[in-house]
Amino acid sequence: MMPSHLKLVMPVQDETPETPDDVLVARAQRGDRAALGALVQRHQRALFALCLRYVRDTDEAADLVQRAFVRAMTKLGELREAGSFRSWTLRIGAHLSLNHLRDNARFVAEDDSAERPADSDTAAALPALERLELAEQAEALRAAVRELPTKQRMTLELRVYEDLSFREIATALEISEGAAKVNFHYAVRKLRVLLGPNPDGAARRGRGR
Amino acid sequence: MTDHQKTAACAGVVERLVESGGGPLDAATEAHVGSCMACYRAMTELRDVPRVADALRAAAPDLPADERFWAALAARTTEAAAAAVTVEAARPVRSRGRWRVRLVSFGGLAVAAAASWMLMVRHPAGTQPAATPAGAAAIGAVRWPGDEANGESLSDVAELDAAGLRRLLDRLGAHAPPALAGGVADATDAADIPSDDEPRVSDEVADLDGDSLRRVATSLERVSL
Repeated sequence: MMPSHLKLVMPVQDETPETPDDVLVARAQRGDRAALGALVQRHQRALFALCLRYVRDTDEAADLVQRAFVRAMTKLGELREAGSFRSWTLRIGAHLSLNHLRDNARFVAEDDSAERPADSDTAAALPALERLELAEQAEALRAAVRELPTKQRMTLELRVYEDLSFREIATALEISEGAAKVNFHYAVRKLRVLLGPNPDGAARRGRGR
Repeated sequence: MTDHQKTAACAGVVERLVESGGGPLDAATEAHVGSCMACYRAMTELRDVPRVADALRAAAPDLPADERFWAALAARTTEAAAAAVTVEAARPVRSRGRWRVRLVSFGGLAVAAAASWMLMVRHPAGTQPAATPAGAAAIGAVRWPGDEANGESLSDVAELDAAGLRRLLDRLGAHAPPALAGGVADATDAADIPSDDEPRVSDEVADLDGDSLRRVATSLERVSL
C-alpha cells in the first residue's frame, strides 16, 4: 500500500478557472498539490484583504493567510459543503485575525499607513480640506466597524466585500439565514449614522412612496 | 392582528427588506411598510445599504499591486498547506505509534509496581536493605526464587550496555511511584516519542512476557550503573 505522504507527488489533473471549488477541495484532500495551489490562488486575495482589514499590517495579514489555509486543510473534514470552501476559509481567517488582535492587543499599529482610500487618485484630486474630511470619515467608519459585535462585523464584511449571499454567510457563520439578515441590518443601522443624512434620501422618498 | 403576529410579520418583512438591498418591494411588503412604523424605519435604514457599502469599500486598505507578492504568498501558503495535509494524512499512523508508546509505558509501570510490591513483601518494615540512592538499586534488591535457573535470560538482559539500561530505567522511572523513581533521570514528554535513530529498549521490554519482565527487573541488581 502506498504511504499516504507519497500521494502528494501523484500525477494531477489540470485545473481551470472553471473547476469548481468542491472538485479542487476533494483533490486537495487526497494530496493533490496542484489542486491545493489552485485553491490558494483563487482565494488568497479575498482572504488577505479580510485579514488586512482586521490587523492593518501587510506582513501579519500574509501570515494569517498562510495560517488560515493550513487550518482549513487540516480541518477539511469539518467542512460540511465542499462548495462553501471560500466562505468557510474566510471565516477561519476572520477568527484567526480576531485571535491575533486579542493576543497582540498592545502591539497593533496605531497608524493607518496600510490603509488608504482605495480610490486614491480621486482623493488626491480633491481639495485638501475635503481629503482630510474623507480620511477622517473613513477612519471613523473603520473604527465603527471594529466596534461591531463579531457576528455583525463578519456578516457585513462577507456581504459587502465578498458579495456572499445571506445563505452562504449563514453557512459560513453557522447561524440561520434570518439571523444573518438581522445582523446585517443592525450593522448597517449603526454605520449609516456615521455617514450623516443621505443626500438622495429626500428624492428617493418622494419617488418611492 | 395580535402583537405576536405583528412581530412575526415584521420579522419576515425586515428579512425581505434586507434581501432587496434597497431595491423594489413586492406589493405585500409595500403594504406592510406603509402601515408599520418600525418596518418603515427599517426600510429607510436599509435603503442606505449601497451608500454604506460604497463608503466601506472606499475605506478599505489597498492591496499590494505587485504580482510577485501574490506569487510568493501563494507559493509559501501552498507549501505550508501541503505539509499540513501530509501530516494530517499521517496522523492515524502517528496515533497508533502513540498508543503503542502508551502501552509500553504501562508495561514499564507494571514492572515498577511489581518490583515495589515484591520489595515490600520480601523486606517488611524494619528489615529494609541499606538505603540505595537510585530507583534501580531499589529494584535490584528484589530476588525471586528460581533466578539461578533462568541464567540464560538473565544474561541476555545483563548484556545490555549501560546506556541501554539507563534508558530502560528512565522508562521505568518515569512512571514509577516517586519513591521508587528517585534518582532516575527526569522523564520528559519527548521521551515518549523516541527518535527514529534511537534504539527502542522500551519496545523490547514491551515484547517480553510477565516472567521475562520479572527477570529484567532482577537483572538490574547485577549491573552497576
